Amino acid sequence: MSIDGARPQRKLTRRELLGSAAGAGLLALAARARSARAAARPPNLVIILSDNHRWDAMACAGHPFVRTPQMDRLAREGLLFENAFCTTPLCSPARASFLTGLYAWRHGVRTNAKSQSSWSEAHTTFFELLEREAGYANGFFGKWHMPGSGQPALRGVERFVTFTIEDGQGRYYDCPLVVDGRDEPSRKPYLSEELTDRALDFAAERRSGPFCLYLSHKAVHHPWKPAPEDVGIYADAPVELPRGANSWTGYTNGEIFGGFDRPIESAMRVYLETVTSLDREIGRLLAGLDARGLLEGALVVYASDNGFLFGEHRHVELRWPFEEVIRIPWLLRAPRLVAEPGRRVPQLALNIDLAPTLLELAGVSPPASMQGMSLAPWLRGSQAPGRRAFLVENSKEFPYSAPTYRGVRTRRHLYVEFEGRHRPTLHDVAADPRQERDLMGTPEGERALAELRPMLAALLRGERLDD
Amino acid sequence: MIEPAAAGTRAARGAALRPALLLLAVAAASFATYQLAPPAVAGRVIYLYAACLALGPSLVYPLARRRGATPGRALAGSLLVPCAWILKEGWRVSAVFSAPEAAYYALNPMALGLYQAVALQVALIELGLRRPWRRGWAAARGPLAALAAVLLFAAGLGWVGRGSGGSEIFYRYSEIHGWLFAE
Repeated sequence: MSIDGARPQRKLTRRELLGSAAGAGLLALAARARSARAAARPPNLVIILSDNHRWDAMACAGHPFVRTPQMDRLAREGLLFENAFCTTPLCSPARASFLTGLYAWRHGVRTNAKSQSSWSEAHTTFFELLEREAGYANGFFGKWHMPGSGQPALRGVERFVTFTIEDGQGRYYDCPLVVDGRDEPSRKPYLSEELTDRALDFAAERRSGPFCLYLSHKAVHHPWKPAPEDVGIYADAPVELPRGANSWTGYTNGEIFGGFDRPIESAMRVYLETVTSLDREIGRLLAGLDARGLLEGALVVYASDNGFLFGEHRHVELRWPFEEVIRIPWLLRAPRLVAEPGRRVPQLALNIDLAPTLLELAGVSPPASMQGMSLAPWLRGSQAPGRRAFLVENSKEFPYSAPTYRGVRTRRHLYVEFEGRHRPTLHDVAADPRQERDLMGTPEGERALAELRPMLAALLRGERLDD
Repeated sequence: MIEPAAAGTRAARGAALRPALLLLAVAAASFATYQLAPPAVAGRVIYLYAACLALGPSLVYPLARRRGATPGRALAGSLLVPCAWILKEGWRVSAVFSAPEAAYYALNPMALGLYQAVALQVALIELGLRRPWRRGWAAARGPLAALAAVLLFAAGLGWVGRGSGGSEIFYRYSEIHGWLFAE
C-alpha cells in the first residue's frame, strides 16, 4: 500500500483482462435488467400536501425573499403548474377533492363543519384503486380534518397517522397522534418533522410492490409556528401590505375569525418562516428517499389545499373567490416521466386532477365518475390539450363571512354568483389579476357573460369543459 | 366639574344618554374613517374605534353616574356602543345567514370577551364609587357579585380554551351552532 492508501499499479494478465471485461458486461446486463424492471414497475408515489400555502409564496414562483430551495428544486427538476387551482378554497372540501377527484358538490364535503356535511365512507379514493388494481402499499400521514364522526375507515390505506386535537387541526408542537387508531405521543416536538420521519419509516419498509405516500402537513395553517431555527429569519424582511389593506384588516369587516393574532405584516413574516420550515422538511424527505434509492423512480407532487388572503380585497384567510385563495402551488418531479424538466405548464390544473393523474401513471384506468382529468399527457409535453373552464364553489359556514357561491373560472375570466345579498362579480383575471375592476354592468362584461353563464350551467350539470 | 342631577329628575334620567351618544358619535366617525381613509390613516384610526368599543364604559359609566344616573341607566349607557357594534355585525351576518343565526352571532367568543370587558369596567368603577373600604362592604354587594360573576365566567372560558390559545372556545361555539341550526 502506498502512503496515501492507493494500491500500487501493475499490468493485468490476459486472463484477468478477459475476466474483468466479462464481469463488467454481466454487471451492465444486470443493471439494464434492473432498470427495465424499474421502468416496468409502476412508480412510487409521494404526495406532499400543505395547508393554506399561497401559490406565490415560493422563490420559484417569484416571491421576493422567502427561501424555498427544496420547492425550487422540485420545480427545476420537474414541472411547475403555473395555473393550478383548488375548486373549493377551504381545507376539508379541497382535501376531499384531492382524494376523490370530485368537486365538493359531488363528494358532499361542503365545509369544515360536521354539522353541515360529512365525509362519506362510500367514496372511492385513489388509495383504494391503487391498492386493488396495482398492488400499491399506501400510507397517509398528517392532517385528515374531514367532517364526520371518529376516524375514517379509508379503504386501501395500510398506515394511517393523523391527529384529532383542536378539531383535527393539530398543533405545531407536541401534537398527540393517532396511529392506526391508537393514541401515540409525538416523538419529535415539531409536527412537520415528526410526520416526515413517520413517512420515511413507511417508505423504508421492505415490500415487493410500489408504495404511495400521502404526507399531509398542518403547515402552513394558522396559528403559524416555524421550527425553532427559523424563528425570526424574516424579521427584517421588506413585507408590503396589499393595496387597500392596513395592519388590522384581519380584525375588521367580519374577518375576526380568520386566525390573526397580530398585525398583518407580522403574520406574513411568521407565515413565511413556517413555509421555510416546511420546505426544510420536504428536503429531508427527498434526501431520505434518495438515501434509500427510492427517489429517482418516484413521482413527487407538492401542492396545497388552497391559498390565503393577507388583506387583499380587505379580507383575510380563505373561502372568498379571489385568485390569491383559489390558486395553489403545484410542483411535480418524476425524472423518468417528465419531458423537458424545469418546464412551466400553462394549462389549468385542478385539485380534482390529482386522483386521475396518479391512477393513470400507476397503470390504472380512472373511473368515469371522477370529474378531474389526468395531467399525465402534460408530463410528456407542453402541447397536450387542457380544459377551457372549471367550477369554483363554496358553501357558507357559520360564523365566517364568505357566502355560498358558484362560479366559473376560464383562462381569462372569473364569474361568480352568490347567495344572499351579495351581487354577482365578474373579473378579467388575465388582464386584472388583482380583481380590482368588476366588469358587471359594463359592455365588456355583458359580452363575456353571454358565454360564461351557459358554461356555469354546464359545469353545475356535471359536464367537463375541456379543449 | 359636572354637577350631579337630582335623583328622579328628567336630567337624571337622561344623565347617561349624553356621554353614551358622544361615544357613539366618536365610534361611528372612527369606523367611517376606517372604511374610507387610505390604509395608513385607517391603520391608526382603528385604535380609536377599538378603544371606543372596549374601553368606552370607563368613560361613559363614571360620567353618567356623576351626572346623577342610576347604576342601571349608567350601565345601559355603557352598553350603547357595544350593542351598536353587535347590531352592525348582526346585519352583516344576516347577508349570509338566517336571522336566528345572526342573533346567535351575538354570543360569539369575541362578543363574549367584549361583554366581560364592559362588565369588568362597570363593576370596578361602581366599586370605586361606593368606596366600601370606608363605608363598609355591605354597600358594595352588587358590584362585588358582578365582579365575581365576570371572573368566574372568564375562568370557565379559560378552562374550555386551555392549551389551545382560545381556539377550543371557538370550536365549541361552532358546535353549539351546529346543534341549534342543523340543516
